[in-house]
Order: sequence, then structure tokens, then C-alpha cells
Amino acid sequence: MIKQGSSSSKKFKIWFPSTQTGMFLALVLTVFIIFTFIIPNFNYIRIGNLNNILTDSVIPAIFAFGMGMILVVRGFDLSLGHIASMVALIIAYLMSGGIKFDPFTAILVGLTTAAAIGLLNGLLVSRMGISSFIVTLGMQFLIIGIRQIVTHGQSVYISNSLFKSLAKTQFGISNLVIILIIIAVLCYFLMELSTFGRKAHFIGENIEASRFMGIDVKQYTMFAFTLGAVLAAIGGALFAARAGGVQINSVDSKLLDAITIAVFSGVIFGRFKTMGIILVSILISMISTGMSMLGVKTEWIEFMKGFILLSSIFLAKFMNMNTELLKLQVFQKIKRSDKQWT
Amino acid sequence: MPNQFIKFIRLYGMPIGLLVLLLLVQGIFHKVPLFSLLNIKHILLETVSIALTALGLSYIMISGEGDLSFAGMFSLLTVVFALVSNQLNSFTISFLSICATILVVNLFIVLLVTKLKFSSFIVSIAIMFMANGVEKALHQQTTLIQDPNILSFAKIEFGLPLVVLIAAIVYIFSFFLINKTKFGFSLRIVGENKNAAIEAGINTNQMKVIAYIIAGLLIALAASIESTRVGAIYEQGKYYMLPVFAACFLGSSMFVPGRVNVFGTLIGALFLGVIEKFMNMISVESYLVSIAQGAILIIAVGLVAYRHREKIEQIKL
Repeated sequence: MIKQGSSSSKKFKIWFPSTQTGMFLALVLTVFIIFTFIIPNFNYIRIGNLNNILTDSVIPAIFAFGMGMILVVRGFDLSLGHIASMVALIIAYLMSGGIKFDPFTAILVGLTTAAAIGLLNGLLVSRMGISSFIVTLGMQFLIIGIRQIVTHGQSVYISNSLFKSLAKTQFGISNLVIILIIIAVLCYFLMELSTFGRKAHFIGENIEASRFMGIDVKQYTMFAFTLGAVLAAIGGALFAARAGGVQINSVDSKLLDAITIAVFSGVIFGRFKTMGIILVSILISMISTGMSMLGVKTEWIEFMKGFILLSSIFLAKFMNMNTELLKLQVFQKIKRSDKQWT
Repeated sequence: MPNQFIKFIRLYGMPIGLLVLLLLVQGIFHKVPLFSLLNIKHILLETVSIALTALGLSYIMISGEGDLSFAGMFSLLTVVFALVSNQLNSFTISFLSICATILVVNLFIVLLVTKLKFSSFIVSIAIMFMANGVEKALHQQTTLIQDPNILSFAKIEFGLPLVVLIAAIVYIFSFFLINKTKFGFSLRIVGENKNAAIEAGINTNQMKVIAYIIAGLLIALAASIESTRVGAIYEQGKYYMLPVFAACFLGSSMFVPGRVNVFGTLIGALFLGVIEKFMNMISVESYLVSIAQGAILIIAVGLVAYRHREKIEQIKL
């Protein structure tokens, strides 16, 4: 998928980035230079700010890992943001109030819930054959209802210092970055080196062929949905740890980040590239931090993200990049089977 | 005979089942007069904007594309309507302005979809989020429509409210347009089998453009009705995303199973309207409505999909 550099020297080939990666790095550099000079007093390139940008990019990147995994098997998940919200609420609830679980149990319960919801999504998609889009849209509203019952719309504050230390800054670097690195390494091994990843990619390329090859398509689809939900839940938990409190819908909007980053990275680097997702999320974090430093309102930053999503599709079209990802068949119809009945 | 019976069940099982469900519910909660005349009028009035938006979405889905942008655009249109009508105090100008807005956006989407072959799904997601951003930027709190003349539009009655009659006419017109005319036939072929449509000499791009234009006008109509009916505008589209989709997909499970069709969409929208009204009347809290709607969507579509699971050639992701 990724074109290699045209050099004949093997060593050079390894170290020289492909054309698309090169262009992307040029884009990052351009954005960096523009913000450096636009923002007064060179505030943008202070160490503290750069560290902030890196930390901001962690949670969207984890969401994008989840979305990317589901995109790999040609699914789509609209309920990721809501799953994350729900998990953040569960964790916050279990640690506060009269229950006072220790953080590990709370996180475990939260992740199990997310896995259960993801499994349900996956089951409905793979066994019942419903379009993943409808399933996750319905699930989104089920979750909205359920969490309202549980919380009565109140926000919860987290007092547990051990849990909050997940997002603490030590030795100049945030714990979040370390967590991201761990998750990225795991994702890299799972999706790019293991048999599971190979087969999942194969399903994404051609469902029919992979079924003839003997890959259990349903099982893999189900697993991808579960894994995506768990990753989103980790993102939600980290968000709760960082914010120190959870509102009922605080993480919902992260869905936009997840879609934007996963699609953008898919367009430029290929279906699921760990490094690509991290780089794109850093780029988006750079842009949104820069814009907010310029005093742009949050609504327009949201607009900007949608715009980036749209322009990434343009990029794919006009720079002849990887358009494979854009052939999502989300709105496929049920085959009519009149012959069976008449 | 059994074959005919099975066929009958296939086509009409879902609407009959829904009706039985409603009657059952009415039987259990017999103290609540769900089907009194006044109540039916209220339900119709509240369902009009859902039904019209769902009809617009049906046009797009019949032409073989999908759309999510309406959820964001609906909010944006209601806000634009409120702001313009507060400035100029004219229903016509406000209506024309939102028509212009949605037509520009929809033509942009359809340009990307037809000429550049983008996935309509991803494009419309991007548009939805962008519209949400613009909507929030335009107003922070609830915007009230001040002009009493404009607000009275939803209250005009000739036996039934005027807006309900408008919706009924639009639905009858759409039914004939899609099922009885050459245009409707071509539109359905484009959605059914694009290659066949091209072989038959149908201009697929033109069909899609027309479908998007009609959908845009219907959404504009729905948004103007909604804003005159409610009067206080705040993120209206948020509550409309699921009912509209559920209406379309519920509709696709009846009459012509597996296909979005006009009459099915109407029944789906009415059913959701009745359910919502009923839950309001027995004073359940609002979150249960979203649970019920989500569950209905998944179960209804799941039943249809499950019945055809042997025939499904690809997992529909």
C-alpha cells in the first residue's frame, strides 16, 4: 500500500520515508512553522506547550486505535464516545460515594462493561447481519438512556489520588504518554505483526476471499468490535483521571476525534498503522492547541476537525493516495430472497 | 395457500405486529386515553417534522446513498430560521433562507458523492460535525422566536392542523412520484443496481442530485415547522437523529422488505411518535424514550436481517 522510496540502495530505502509519509511530515512542519510565527512571544514553541500538545494527543489517539481496529474489518462504530462516557461514569461512581472500590477493581469493572457492550455490538453485526452503522446508532441511544437511569444526570468527582496519578506528570513527562506508548506497542504487535492482525486486514480487503480461505469472519468481526470498545473505554478512563471528574456526556464528542484521526491516518498511511495514528493525532492536537491559543472558540475548533476530516478525503482523491478505506459499504441492503418464498 | 399466507406475513407482519403492540399497551394502561381525538391531533402535530425529515432521508436512501448530515443540519436550520425571523419578521424570507442554506450544503455533498465518488457516509459525518460547530457558534443559549405571526403558523387549523395537511399532501405526492412515475422507477433502479441503471441509459448522477435536492427541501420544511411549533430553539437536531433513522429502517422492514419505501417510512414515523407520546403520558422519564427507540430500531432491523441471514452474501459492515 505504501510506496517505497525510489532509491536503489537498500539501507537508504529503509531510512527514507515513503512519499506519502514525507508529504505528511512536511504538512506537520508547515503547521508548526505557521503557528510558531503567528502566535506572539513564541509561546507556541515553549517546552511546556509542546509537552502539553503531546499530552493532549494521547486520549484521541487511543480512541482512534479503537476506531481503527473496527475500520480494519470494514465496520463502523458510532457508539465509541458513549461507551467511553459510560465507563468513565462507572469508574467514577464505583470509587466515590458509599461503595469506595479501589481503583483496580473499578477499572476492571469498567473495562468489562465496555467489553460486554462491544461484544453485543459485534454479535449483532456478525451473527444477525445488521449493518454496523444501525447497530451502533441504536446502542448509542440505549447507552444514553441507561446512564441517565444510573446517574440521574449528575456529574461525579473523583477523589482517589491513586487513580488520578494515571494522568500525573513525572520527570517532565506525563504518565499518559507512557500509557500511550504501552498501548501503541501492544496494538503494533497485535495488528501489524500477529496472525490476528494479518487475518483482520485480509477480511477488510476482501470478505468473500477470506471466508474461502477458512478465516472465521464472524469471530474476527466480533473480536474487533470488542477490542475497539475496550480501547475506547481506556480512553474514557484516562479522560476521567485527567479531568478529575466526569460529567454525564463529557467524552461523547471524542467520537469526532476518533473518526477524524482514524480516517486521516488510514488515507495517508494505510489501514491500521500505529505510527500513523499517533502522528495524525499529534498533528490535530497541534492545530487545536494553536487555534485555542489564538483565541478561537471551541465550536470553531470542532468545525475545524470536521473540515480536516473532509479535506483528508480530498487529499486521498487528488494525491492518489489510499482510497481503499473510503469504500466502506455501510449502507448495504439486505438481499431480497423472493425465490425462497414464491 | 400456506405460501400466500407466508408472503402476506412477510409483507404486512411488521405493521400488524406494531399495531397489536400498541393495542396491547393501550389495554394494559387503559386509564391513559392514547387514541382519543385530541391526542391523535397532538401526536400528528408532533410527528410532522420527524416524518418529513425521514421522508427526505428516504429519498436519499432510495437513490442508494446514506446521509447523516441531516442531524447537524436540522439544528443549524432551526437556528438560522429563528435568527432570520427575529431580524426580518417574515416567514417567507426565513423559509427561503434555510432552503438556500440546505440546498448549498446538499449540492456540495452530492457533488462530492457523484463526481468525486466519495463515501457519502464519511462526507456526511464531517458535514454533521461542522454544522454542529457552526450552530454552537451562532448561538450560545436558547433562541426564542419573537414574532407572533410566525409562531401562529403551526396553530392554523382546518379540522386538522395545516402543517399536518401539508405533510399528508407531501407524502401522497411522494408516494406517487416514487411508485408510479418513470422518475421514481429510475430512482429506485439507481439505488438497487447502479450498473443496471447505467446500462439502461439512466443518468445516475442526475438522479442522485434530484434526490438530494428534494431531501434538502423536505428537511428545510421540517425545520421551519419545528421552529414555529416549538418557538424556543436549542439543539433541536440532537433529539431527531435516532427517530428519523429508526423511522426509515422500520419502514424498510415492512411492505417491501429490505427496501426503504415511502409508506413504510410514514408508518415508522407515526409509530415512533405514538410511542414517544405514550411514554410522555404515563410520565416515564425521557431517557426511557431513547432506550425504547434504540431497542425498537435494533430489534426491527435485526428481525428482517435475521430472516435473510442465509441469503446475505456479505456480512454487512
